[in-house]
Amino acid sequence: MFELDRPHEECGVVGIWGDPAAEQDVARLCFFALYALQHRGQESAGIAASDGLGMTMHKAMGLVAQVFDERAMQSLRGHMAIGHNRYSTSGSSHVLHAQPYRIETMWGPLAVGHNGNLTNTALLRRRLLERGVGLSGSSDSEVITQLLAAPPGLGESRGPDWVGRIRALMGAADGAYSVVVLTREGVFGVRDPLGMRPLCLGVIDRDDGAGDGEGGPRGYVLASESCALGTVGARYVREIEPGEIVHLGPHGVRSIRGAEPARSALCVFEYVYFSRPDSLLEDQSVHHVRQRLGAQLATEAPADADVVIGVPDSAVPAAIGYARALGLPYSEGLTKNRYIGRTFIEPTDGLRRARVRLKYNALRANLQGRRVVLIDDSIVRGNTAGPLVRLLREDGGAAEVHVRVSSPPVRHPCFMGVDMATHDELIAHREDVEGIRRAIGADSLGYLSYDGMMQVVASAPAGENPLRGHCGACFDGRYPLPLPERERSVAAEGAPS
Amino acid sequence: MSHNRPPLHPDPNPGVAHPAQILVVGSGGREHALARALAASPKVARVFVAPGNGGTDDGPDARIQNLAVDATDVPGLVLAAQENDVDLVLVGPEAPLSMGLCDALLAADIPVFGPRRVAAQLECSKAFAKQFMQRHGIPTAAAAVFDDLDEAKAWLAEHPGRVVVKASGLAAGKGVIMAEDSEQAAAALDRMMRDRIFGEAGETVLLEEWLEGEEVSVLAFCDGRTALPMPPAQDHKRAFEGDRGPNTGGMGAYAPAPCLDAEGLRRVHHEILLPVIRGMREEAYPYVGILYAGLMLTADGPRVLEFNCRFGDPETEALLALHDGDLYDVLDACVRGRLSTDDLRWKSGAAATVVLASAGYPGAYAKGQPISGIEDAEAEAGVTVDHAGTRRDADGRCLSAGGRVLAVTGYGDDLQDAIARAYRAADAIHFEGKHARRDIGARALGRTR
Repeated sequence: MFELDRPHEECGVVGIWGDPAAEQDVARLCFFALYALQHRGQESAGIAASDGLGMTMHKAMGLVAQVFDERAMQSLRGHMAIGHNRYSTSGSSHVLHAQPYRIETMWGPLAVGHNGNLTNTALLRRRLLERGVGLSGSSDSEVITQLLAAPPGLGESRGPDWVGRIRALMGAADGAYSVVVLTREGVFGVRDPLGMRPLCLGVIDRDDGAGDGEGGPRGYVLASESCALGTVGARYVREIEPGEIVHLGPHGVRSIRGAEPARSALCVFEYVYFSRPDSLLEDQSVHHVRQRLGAQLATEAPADADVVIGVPDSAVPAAIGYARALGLPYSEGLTKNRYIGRTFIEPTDGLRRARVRLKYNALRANLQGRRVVLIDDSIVRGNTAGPLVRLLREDGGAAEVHVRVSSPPVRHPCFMGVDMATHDELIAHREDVEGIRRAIGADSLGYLSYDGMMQVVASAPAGENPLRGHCGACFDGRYPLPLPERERSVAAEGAPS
Repeated sequence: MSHNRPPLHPDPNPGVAHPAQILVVGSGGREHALARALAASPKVARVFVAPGNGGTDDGPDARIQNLAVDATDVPGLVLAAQENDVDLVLVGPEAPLSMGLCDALLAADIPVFGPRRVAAQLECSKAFAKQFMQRHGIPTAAAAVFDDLDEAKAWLAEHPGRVVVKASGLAAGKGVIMAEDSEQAAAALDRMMRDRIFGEAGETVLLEEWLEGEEVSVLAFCDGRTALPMPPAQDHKRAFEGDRGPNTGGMGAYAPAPCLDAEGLRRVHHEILLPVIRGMREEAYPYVGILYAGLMLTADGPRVLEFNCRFGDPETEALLALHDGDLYDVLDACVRGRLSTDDLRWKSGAAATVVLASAGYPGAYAKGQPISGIEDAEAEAGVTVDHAGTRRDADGRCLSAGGRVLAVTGYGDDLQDAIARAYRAADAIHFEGKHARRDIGARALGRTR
């Protein structure tokens, strides 16, 4: 409830294969990688580890630091591990849905961690139930796990065919999935053919990298975001391509085409808000993209003002870009209590109404009597922007507050794994820009245009991939894949008549 | 193509703002040619060469100067790069690559043009390279890899006839035996795997299909995600005219090689170079540096014989004479992963390089012979003289100090013109025991006539 007006990210995944000869505590590496991905999910966390025979797992509700203690870490043994941070988008909030999922298969234990959301879960669930496979919960991630437990169509005469099983999954599943899979045969990483959720690969080099002339790297790391790589001493190599399967094992990294690549549709909200600014997406720095979004916003919606401030932390890069482009000073105008989202103590009703004050304070010295531009990265429901504007005026003493948003108005819900809102909750679905301005009490309001945003995001280096594209369905309502009946009717309900 | 579009915003990772200091590792004609090309850039303040030779030793304040660090002294080179505020390191020979020099430099946050050790396996492990090509469908000779002598001999018994025997590891260019029959092949296997004449390098051996055709080399600049080829080149490995005598490091080279036309080069780019760079990136060995593809032009198209992970010597001398533009810009684009087709341009015309060697090379030869006539040679239009095995004595005189002494490169309107200039210049240079092949480029000229 303390997460204010933001769409919610839906999980972070990690997969690590370590050279057994290097005797690394791979589960501990996995823990720190999850720690770096905490922003992607705060509801539950888990790690499964394997030595190539057995598999151990620990998962629970809570933040990474709350879920694991030394005893839990000691129990996670082996040179391979996968990990997961969860924010529920499908399946309710319950430890039953904490990941990884682990089951026994013909070929020993299997564990799966999933980031994303399938759009045909209902169909896949029915197929599994018809085959007599029991399901314990409502999560699409469990469906993925059970699909991987089934041998591929042609059978497996010569040992486990994990690639065949993963390909079968990719053939059956629609929607967004970046998946890590732990087996006796190694760690697999999979990205859906549209590449809607990020997944990248890093390598842990030998200590000095020089001298003996022997041996490969100490290990390989898969992670939702590259910010987790540096944390565990891995070097960023590349993204997993849409439709690609990678197999990490003693042979190194094998890349397998799992599904034909389509025009990719990476969620543009990863750039706008979700990803950590020190991550790379499509080989470009998220921080720099946000700065450039701010600069583009300045050309589209300049403001006559004395100072530019950003909503911490995610809108700060855009505010800096905006200020630089207009030659205005950038300053801090709001401070944020970074720990407020981490309490389970419910505020009283009175406090709840002023909940924005629990999270932000105005820095009066920088605001008093000034005409202020407040940069935010997005407005979803619109229930935070209004209180922030009031805070800047009442507590900060700002003379004017001009709100600029470094993304377009959010008008459509997401069915690909982002907990955004229904149509009715989206302020830009109900109101035009002037209506929103009045609702939040700003002196003026300006949004970045859809084309302007896409132009900035698409300027990634090295145009080697002509199929690169982005999903901006929450802005323009054009979904990158066919929606099943129920979602289609929801989407249609919101369509402008 | 989208990468030709001008960037919307300033490069968030601009290169070095001040005039750059560069360290070239190595001591041959290749390193002299590279140092000279880099020093010609207005963006370059100074080029250090470690350890360098008599031609790269212009004194302590010169634009090109030597550092007394051996090319295989990895910690010493890292330290030298740090102490001299080096902005970019360029590695010439393969030995430091196989020892992890690039890894050590990158660990110290020093940009380097050259592959990490795991990526340099393309040259340092023929077994890795062969299996990599098989995984990625890159056209190459059929081959089997063995680390057991008996299994290798059993394979020979089942496959009679001509076969190529290759030591997997680095064997200073001597690890390839062209066996006319199984008997010769078995003898080569015994020497490599039983007698260990190449040490560890011969522990793993490849038995490979014998390909027929003309050999050509295509070198490419690589930035980790893409590759841009240079004009095709051919070299002369044997010591004497008519491609006879023992193998050497290379007695001459020329480019562009007429045996590979523009369509052929396009095929090499798309069927070999780009798939290699993509495959290396997929498998977490992003490849930055020069990819040197040694190719056989067979009736079925180009086939890879081997890869080198560096500039060839003396192909580099000829290729740099054809390069039109700032070499520093190209290397800088590569180390930042931003190489684009606009970065590379080539002059029309041709270049030929003639190596002046010491009598007796590649066997025993005399050193310390005074060299004269280099200035006269460079007075010839279109000619450069790169030092290979030379040193300066206390009085600054140039003395021979190695088997290959100088590389004389001529640039001209066409190959015939280039060769004529190179020989006119080569004839102006004198030292006791000077030996040069007189037929550099003859085969290509026969072809173009």
